[in-house]
Amino acid sequence: MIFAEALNKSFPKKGQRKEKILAVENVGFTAKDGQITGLLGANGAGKSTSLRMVVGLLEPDSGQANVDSWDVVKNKLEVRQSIGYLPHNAGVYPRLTARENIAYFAELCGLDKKQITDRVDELIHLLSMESFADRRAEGFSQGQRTKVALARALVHKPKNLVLDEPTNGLDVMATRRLRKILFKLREAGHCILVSSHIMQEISIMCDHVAIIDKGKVIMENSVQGLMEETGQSDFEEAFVAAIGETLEEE
Amino acid sequence: MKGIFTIMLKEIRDNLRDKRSLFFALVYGPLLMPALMMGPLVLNAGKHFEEYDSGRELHVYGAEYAPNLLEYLRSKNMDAKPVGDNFVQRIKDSDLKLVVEITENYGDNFNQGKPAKVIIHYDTENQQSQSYFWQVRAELDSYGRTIAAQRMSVRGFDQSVLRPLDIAENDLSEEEMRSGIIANILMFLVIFSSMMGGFYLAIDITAGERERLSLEPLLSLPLSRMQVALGKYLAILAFCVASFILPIVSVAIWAMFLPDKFFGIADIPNAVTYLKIALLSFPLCIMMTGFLMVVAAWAKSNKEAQTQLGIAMLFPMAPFFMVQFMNIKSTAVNNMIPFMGQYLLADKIMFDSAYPVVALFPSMLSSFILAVILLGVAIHLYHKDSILGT
Repeated sequence: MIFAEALNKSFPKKGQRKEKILAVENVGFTAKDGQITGLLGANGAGKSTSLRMVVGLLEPDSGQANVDSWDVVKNKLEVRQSIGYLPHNAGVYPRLTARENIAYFAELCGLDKKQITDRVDELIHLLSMESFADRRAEGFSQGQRTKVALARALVHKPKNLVLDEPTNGLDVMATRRLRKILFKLREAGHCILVSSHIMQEISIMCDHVAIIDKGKVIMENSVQGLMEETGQSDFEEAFVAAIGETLEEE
Repeated sequence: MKGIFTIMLKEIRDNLRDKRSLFFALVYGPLLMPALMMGPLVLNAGKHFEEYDSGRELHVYGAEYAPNLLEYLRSKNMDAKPVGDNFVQRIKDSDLKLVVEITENYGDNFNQGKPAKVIIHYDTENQQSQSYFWQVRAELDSYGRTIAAQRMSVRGFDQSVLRPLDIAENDLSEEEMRSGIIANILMFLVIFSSMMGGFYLAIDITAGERERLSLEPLLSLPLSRMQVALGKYLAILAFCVASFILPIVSVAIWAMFLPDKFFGIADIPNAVTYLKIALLSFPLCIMMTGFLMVVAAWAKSNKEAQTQLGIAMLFPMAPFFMVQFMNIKSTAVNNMIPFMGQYLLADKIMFDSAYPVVALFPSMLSSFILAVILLGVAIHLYHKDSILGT
């Protein structure tokens, strides 16, 4: 389970180191085990910064976040051991093969040689990567890169999975396949936290959604609950209403 | 510890697949640059010294008029060889370096105690001709002095009246300078090569990795930032060390082709000389690794890192030019200035291979301290939010 409360984070303004920009303000949400939780917001709303704090990449200025009761500031290594993180844009190593990319992360997560071989084979099969597993990653399609990155995030069998815009750049079929994999993981009891700005994606995939805007969580509920709360029958309209924008006239 | 070595090995393997990194680490600094700097030196020195070493032909026009002079020159390793009338044109065409012309009335004048005319034909535009001229001129002068002394002696005069000054040469700088050239070239190559060796790797695994967005997932793994930084540091160090050792081997091989006389009163460099220079400059290698990593981690992008490192590389190169042109002396303080100290002490080791190792310690220690500080700064940068490019 992932729990965040009153997280704040600011960064120095580019070119003016003394001035700061508040990237995330008072953000809080809960992502439960066996559920897919969505962080929904426009570009620059603060989704990635929130996720980076949850996985221990950035330290919050204030507030608290726990992953399976481990504090993300005090117990960074335990948090990272129990979390798998898929960053925005995958970030795979172009000169390594897909298999080497996954094995590298497995080794860094402390798996022994036998475990690495077995786990890498298992993931290659699970994510249907057989056709490109032994090719160098340079020249991979976005879908192939995402699969490699997802395999790396899953390699140490983390209970919690944090995915930053996982369907970014994926075609329809690749998106459907990814969705299936995430549903499987949800059934296996994993806690999955996904950020996205794509309404349709969130509405199909997520059991619980936190809407984030200008660095703040505006509303948190199920997709149905959000529509009821905002009095809208369409999820997109519910989002627009939630962030306080005026609905356009038809 | 395992995580550190896993990262190091991955970075080395990854960059061995990058032809550019490999070229700069194993070919550019270690092979091409030594060939570029040592090659012309070896070729020129070979030509210069072989002239003094072995017996050489001396082309003479009118050899029959001065048999005693030619006998004297033969004793000085100059074998007279007659030439035809067209020798002036042949010198102009660089076919001959120099011709000594003995005039027809040489014998008569010589016997009468009058100045006997000998003409040296040579070409100042031809370097070899000019260098041979000074040698021949010196021997002819020497012969002239010998004959004059004999004549004075026969006439009952003390020959020392012809030698009002007793000049003895004691050139202290010339011979050291030649070994110093090798020391300076070697230090320049060691510094330049190891910096170039780690240059692209440092950029690729810090600024480059951040730009490719692969640093973020790496830092989300159950590893401390210090482990990640140390793993990357050791990978850069491995490339720097490879590019540090190879130019020393290259220079040692090139220097074997230099004639012994090149080094004059300085020691002929041997394995101990090169080992001491390697020991002296190894802390620089560690220091430069930290330096490369700090600059690459500080930069916001790959391009910025390349620009900053390109400019930053001037700093370690500066002492080469300062030592070359500013006559900076080896003092306790100068020896402790990183880079500068290594240049000055390498000069001493190259001159005297028995130069005590213990005298190198202060210089090594100061560079090592700076290396540790730079590593500390690099690790600190890895703990900052900005390492993610935020």
